[in-house]
Amino acid sequence: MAIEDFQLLRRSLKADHRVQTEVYNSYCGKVYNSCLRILGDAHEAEDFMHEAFIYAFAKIDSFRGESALSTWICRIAINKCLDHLKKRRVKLEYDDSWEQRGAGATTGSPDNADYDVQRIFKAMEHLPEGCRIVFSLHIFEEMNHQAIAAQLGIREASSRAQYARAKNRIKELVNELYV
Amino acid sequence: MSDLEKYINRNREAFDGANPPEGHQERFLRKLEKNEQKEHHSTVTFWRVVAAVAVIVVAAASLIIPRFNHPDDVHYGSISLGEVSRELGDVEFYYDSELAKGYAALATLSANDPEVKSALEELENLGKEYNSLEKQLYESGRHEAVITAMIENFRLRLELIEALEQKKNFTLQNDSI
Repeated sequence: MAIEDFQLLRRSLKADHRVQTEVYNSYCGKVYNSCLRILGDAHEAEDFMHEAFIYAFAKIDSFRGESALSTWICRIAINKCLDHLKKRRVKLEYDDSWEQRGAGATTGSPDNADYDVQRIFKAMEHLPEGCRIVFSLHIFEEMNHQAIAAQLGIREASSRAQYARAKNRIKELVNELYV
Repeated sequence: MSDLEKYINRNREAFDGANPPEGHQERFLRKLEKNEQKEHHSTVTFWRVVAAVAVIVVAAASLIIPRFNHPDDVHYGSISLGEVSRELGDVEFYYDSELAKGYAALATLSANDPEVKSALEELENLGKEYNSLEKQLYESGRHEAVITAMIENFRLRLELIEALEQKKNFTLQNDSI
C-alpha cells in the first residue's frame, strides 16, 4: 500500500462513517469468530468485537501497517477478551481434577477421528475454559506458547500441557459425542 | 502435526463461519456514534477547563502582580535622609513628627477657607518637591546641596503651617517630642 493510501485510510478511519462501516463489514466475521472462540458466548463476543472496532478507529494513528488491518483489529479484540477473562479471574492454569475425570488419559490417542467443524466446536465447548482458551489461541490465532503464557500470566509449560490435553480430549469427544 | 491440527489448518475459513447475532451492525453504529459524541464532549470539556484555568490564572496575576509593583512598594532609585547618616535620620524624624502634628491640626480647619486651601496646595507642592529631592539625593551620590535643600523643604513646610497657625489662631498640639 502506498504511503498516501495508507495515510488516507488512517484519516478516513478516524472520522469517515462510510469507510468505518465498510471496514467493519469486511472484518467483523473474522473478529467475531476470534472473540467467540475465546469467550464462548455470542453476546459477549459481539460486545468485545464492537469494542475492538471502536478502539481501533479511535487509535488508528498507532496502526503502523506492519500487519494487515484485519490482523491488527483482531489482536485488539483478543487482548480485550483476555483482559476481560483475567478480570473475571477465569482459571487459566491446568486443572488436575479435569484429568482425573478422564480427560487426556488417552495421551497419544489414535488419529482416527471423523472430524468436522461442528463436531470440533461441540467438543471445544466441553473443555475447561482455560484449556479451550489456550487451544484457541494456539491453533486459531497462531500465537506461540511463549506469547500465550505471557498474555495469560501462566507458565509456558502449562500452556503446552493444556494444548496437548485439549487436542487429545477433542479427539475423544469428537467420537464420543457422535456415536 | 496431528490429524486434528491438519484438519483445522486445511479448513481454517470454515472455523470463521459463525455469524454475529442479528442487528449487530446497527448496534455497532449506535455505539460508534455514542462514543464519538462522548469523545467530542470530552474534548469540549477539556478546552472549557483549559479556558477556565487560563481565566483564573490571568485574574490572579492581574491582582497579584500589580500588588508587587505598587508605587508604594517600589523605590525608584531614591533614598531618605535617614539612609545617609544617623544624624540626618534624627533631623528627618524631627521634621516628620512636627509636620504630622501640623497636618493633623490643619485637618480640623475648613478646606473651603481660601487661605487654608492655598496653604494645603502649597504643602502638597512642597511634598512633591521633597520626593523629587529624595531621587536627586540618590542620583547625585548624596550631594550636600541636595541634603540642604531637603532640610530647607522641611523647614518651609513647617513655617507655612506655623504662619497659618498664627493667622487662624489655632494651636499646634505641642506634645513633647
